[in-house]
Amino acid sequence: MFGYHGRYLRIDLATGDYRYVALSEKTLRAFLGGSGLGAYLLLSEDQAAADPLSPEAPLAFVFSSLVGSPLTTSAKFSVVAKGPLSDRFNDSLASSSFALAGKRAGADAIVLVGKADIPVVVVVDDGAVRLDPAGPLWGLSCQESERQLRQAYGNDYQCAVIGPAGERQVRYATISHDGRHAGRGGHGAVLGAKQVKALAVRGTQRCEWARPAELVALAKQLSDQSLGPATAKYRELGTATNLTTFHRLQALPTRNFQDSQFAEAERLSPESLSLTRGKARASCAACTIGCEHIYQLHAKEPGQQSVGPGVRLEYENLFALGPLCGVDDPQAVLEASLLCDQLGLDTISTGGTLAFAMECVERGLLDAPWLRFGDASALLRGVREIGAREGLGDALAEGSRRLAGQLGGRSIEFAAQVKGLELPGYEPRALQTMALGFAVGARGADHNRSGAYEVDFSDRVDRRDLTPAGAHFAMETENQAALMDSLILCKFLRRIFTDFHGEAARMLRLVTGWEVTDGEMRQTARRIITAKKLFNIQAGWTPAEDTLPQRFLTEATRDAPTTRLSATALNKAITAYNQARGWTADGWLPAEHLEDLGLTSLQSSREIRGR
Amino acid sequence: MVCVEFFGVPRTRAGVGMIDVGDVSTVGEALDALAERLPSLHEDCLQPRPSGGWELTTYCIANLAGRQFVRDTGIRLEPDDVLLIFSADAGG
Repeated sequence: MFGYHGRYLRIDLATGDYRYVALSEKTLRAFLGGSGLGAYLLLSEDQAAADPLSPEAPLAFVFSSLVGSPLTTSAKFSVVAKGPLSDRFNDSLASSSFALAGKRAGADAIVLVGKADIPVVVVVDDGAVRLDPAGPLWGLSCQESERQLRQAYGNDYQCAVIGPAGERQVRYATISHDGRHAGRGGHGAVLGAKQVKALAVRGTQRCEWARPAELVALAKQLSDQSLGPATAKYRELGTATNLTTFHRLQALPTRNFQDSQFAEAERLSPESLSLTRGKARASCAACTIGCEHIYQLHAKEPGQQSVGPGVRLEYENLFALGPLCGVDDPQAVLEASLLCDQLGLDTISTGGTLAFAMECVERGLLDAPWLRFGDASALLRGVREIGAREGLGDALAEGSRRLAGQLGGRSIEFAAQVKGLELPGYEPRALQTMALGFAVGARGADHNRSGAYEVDFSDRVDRRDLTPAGAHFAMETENQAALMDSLILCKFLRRIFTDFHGEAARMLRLVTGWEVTDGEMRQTARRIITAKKLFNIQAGWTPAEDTLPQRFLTEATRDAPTTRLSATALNKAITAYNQARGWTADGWLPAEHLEDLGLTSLQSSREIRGR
Repeated sequence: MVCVEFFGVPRTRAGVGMIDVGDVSTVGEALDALAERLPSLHEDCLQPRPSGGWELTTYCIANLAGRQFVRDTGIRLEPDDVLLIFSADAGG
């Protein structure tokens, strides 16, 4: 077999036992790797009904055939588990040399089940597994944990770690490696519940490629294209430049989605930050784009070169810790971002939960007078308390949906989440194809699993008038994302492809030798999306959860009173989406559809099937 | 007087945040005026149209005053319209 090891490693943390389980060529071809193979593995484990923080719930690190190839941006891994925020399917990805070392350790995926008796480091050394006591690592920040692990184990190990937030099972804790995070949905909490501080991997087992000379030539071509104008935004300015764009288009979520513009957006923009702070650029492992823009924490004085540590700044942490909380102080936003990195917190859910709590304070639903929109010190205190689960932080660590459940008073109507996952920085009333993508997403409101905002940023639709025609676009961008997350490739490459499915099929042919066509790639995308849905149904999904919070369906923002999204329009679009997928109108999975996609055998014996 | 505002890479290439392009009556005329006054926009943001004049590359997108995304150069502009030019990719 080319490109794959043809097996996954399954480790029982309770006993330390491990075994290799064969993965057939048929299975790998059907699910590819990354999130797709992760969905297959979760369904195979048949624990969709388990509490995500219980020992029974599995968590998988998943690689793919492209990992380790010379294709740019392919050094990625996916973490897949039932999400502790959503209680639904959750996949989060990161790019780093952990993916390369993890695959070289000798398996296409590493599945962790059970719970260790004491905090441990799971060591996978070229195929052999042991559990080492985590000892004094428990309690350390993500960065310090990695530093000490490198010192203890050597530089040929790569270590994915959790920070204090994961240890305390904050429901939106991340898994971190080399400053990158598998960030959304709380996989850090799942590892924390299993008492796993880190997964350390190294190995020498490489996979052969079917047509190496052609693959190297394609990789060179792709790298050259990745240095062109299609990726200039990421390379030159980074995603943070979205801030002023979204502000101008009244699509920038501000003060818990009460406003769509932030008067101080320019002050937080990368263009302004660059004037006062040193900045460096960096790339993930095996990436030629180089989208990371790292700003010095402190503004420099005249004549100074740089001050303090560097902070990776993306649009999402900028929006969530800035405008969403009403904070216009760049220093505070950078410091809060750095704290999230150190504690191992998803910045979107951190900012989203804090912003929700700030509005609850304003409305008299929450007694925390210190927690006010626009207060930089409150932002920093809030992040620290969440990471430590101290004071109010213990309730905030549960995420906005569970916090709303505690507070009552119809607060759930303005908790900006779908399936428990806080919304990213795309105002759904101003970007209504994206609103549909949020509503139907398997892991909840998310901009990485649905790229429907791309359609809103085009002349193909009226972004403020959702119609059933938007369903097709939402589905297509979701399909493309599913393939990219399973191959695995970075989505920042997407504009360099003129025929994505055809070019993806070619990559797979060269690596694996399979005669894959673009048509097969399309069918694979449908299978992966449906497999995620199948897991959700087994976990208790009902059609009622494919929606948006009431705020978005009954109110306009204060600064754009005519921009509205009706429940009727959203529901019609959801029905059109379900039908376009071949599902029933309300989103259930017909038996013949499962059979057509080869998913029948993955139905659980405990499955809850509605019609 | 039609005004053009730049964001993201177009702003970097233009070297200014906004510019007046005079009394133009279509998107195409506005882009022609930009091509003449800001040659730094050529290639990455503006490309010659086969039929003459200039159009946006696929890497950029224009929007009329925040209301409507436009790519058709024939779309008419009102005298006080504001044309916004962004990087086409909104990924974050």
